[in-house]
Amino acid sequence: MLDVASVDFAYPGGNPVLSDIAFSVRRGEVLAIVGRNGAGKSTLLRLLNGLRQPASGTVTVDGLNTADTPVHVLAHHIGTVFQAPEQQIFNAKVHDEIAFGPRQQGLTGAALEARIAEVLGRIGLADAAQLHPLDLDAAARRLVALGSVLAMKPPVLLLDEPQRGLDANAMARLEAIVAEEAEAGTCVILVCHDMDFVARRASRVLALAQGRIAADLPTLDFFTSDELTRKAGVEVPDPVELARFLGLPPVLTPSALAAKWLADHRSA
Amino acid sequence: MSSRSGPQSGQTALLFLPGDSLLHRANPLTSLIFMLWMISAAAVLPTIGTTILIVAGVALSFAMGVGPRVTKRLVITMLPLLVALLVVHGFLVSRPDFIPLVGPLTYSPTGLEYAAQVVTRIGAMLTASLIFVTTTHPGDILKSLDQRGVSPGVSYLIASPLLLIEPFSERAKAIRDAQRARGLDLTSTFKARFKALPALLIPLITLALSDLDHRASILNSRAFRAQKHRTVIDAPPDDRFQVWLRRVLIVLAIAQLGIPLLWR
Repeated sequence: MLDVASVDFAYPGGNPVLSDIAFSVRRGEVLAIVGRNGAGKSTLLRLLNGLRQPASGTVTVDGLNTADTPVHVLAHHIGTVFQAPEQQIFNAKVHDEIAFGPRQQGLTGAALEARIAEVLGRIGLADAAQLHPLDLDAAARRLVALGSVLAMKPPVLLLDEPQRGLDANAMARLEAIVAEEAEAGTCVILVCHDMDFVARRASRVLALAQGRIAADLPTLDFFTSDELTRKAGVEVPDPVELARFLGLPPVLTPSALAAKWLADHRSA
Repeated sequence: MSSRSGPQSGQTALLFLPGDSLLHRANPLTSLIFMLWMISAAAVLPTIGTTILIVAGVALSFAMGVGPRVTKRLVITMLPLLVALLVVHGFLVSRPDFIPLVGPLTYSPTGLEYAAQVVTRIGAMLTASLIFVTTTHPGDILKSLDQRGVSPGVSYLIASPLLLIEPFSERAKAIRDAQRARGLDLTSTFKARFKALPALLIPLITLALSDLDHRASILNSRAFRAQKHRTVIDAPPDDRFQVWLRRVLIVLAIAQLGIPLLWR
């Protein structure tokens, strides 16, 4: 679905930002890109959606080489939710904001309205369809931005710090959407600093350090390696630490930890 | 004299280029008054004088290490204006001295002269402004004005447009990227691009307005106007020569503007 082959990138007149980046993401996979600030995560995201072009190497999305495909065409294959939703909201109604992407795809009439209704339901803003997006709270605005991309039904979904500014309800909804998308076969890529969120939702972690891939592993394998988490500059999620402290097999979520602990106690 | 030569400093203002030239090291007030002197000269000189002023300004910009940036901005801004004024005043505005050129096309020498006068005058003023903003960091202007006892509000009013250029430009790029990533086509026909304007401008304006409120709140919460004058810890260096140079330039600027008025 998404293939990055031997990619190097540097901004004009600058030092290399990314070197020798190579990885693939399959349908239904949730890949988290992690690393310190300045590791090259956001630049990599912009290479994936075609907003930047690699100095060498290729990025292929859904069979399309990003170097040969205009960004607005790629957008039908790879949807991006950026960090600041205010940067894309311009319509006077939530309904119209959600409709923007599908309209660019040529969707009209009943099909468009059905798509909008479906997305509004998924993001939990069916009652807010006629409100101005900027009258909503920050978490709801983020969900509008997510909804406007979901409405395009892209086979690849890029989420840049999607958990930022979300309250508990919105966070639960985001997690449910990520799980549903992966279940439906969408390839989901998260750029994320929240390691608990990564532990709960990502099936694989790609860690960047100084513009290079420091690790590309299943989530559990990554978080149980002290060396790799230190190299990537990320915090180990609490359940992983706690399981280690209790001498239990490694787990990623509190519920899995509780289950292991109970099983361990019963067997004892 | 002070200079900003580190790479970081250049990232805070769009047009400023770090360097160690005479103008980079000059006190910002000296550069500001030098710019005002050039502008006042441009306002009164005839076409040949303003043309010489532009050439001298561009030469000076190269000597100060900011030539390519100044020249590029000057050409990008002035070229459309030059063409528009030459066409309108040389060929379209009805004048008594119309001369046949080719076929039905006629032109007016006085119209062309007038267009050249206006263009070179604006060009000279723009050259002066560009030399100033490429060699003087807005933060240094603020410090320099504070050092001179100018009220914080007035200093901020003068320097804030320059300080805001960079974030505004970055935001415009981010908005464009966000909309392109949602399928907005900014590469096809003029009509399609025109239709795309609301998707680019509305978020930019909305965010700028919300920024104004945000900035005002931040300034108030930091007691921006609590003191009539602010103390500057690292004020840009100044010396007697520059003080006198500024006085001479101010007198010259006033004389340049005043003498033609008195003579008329």
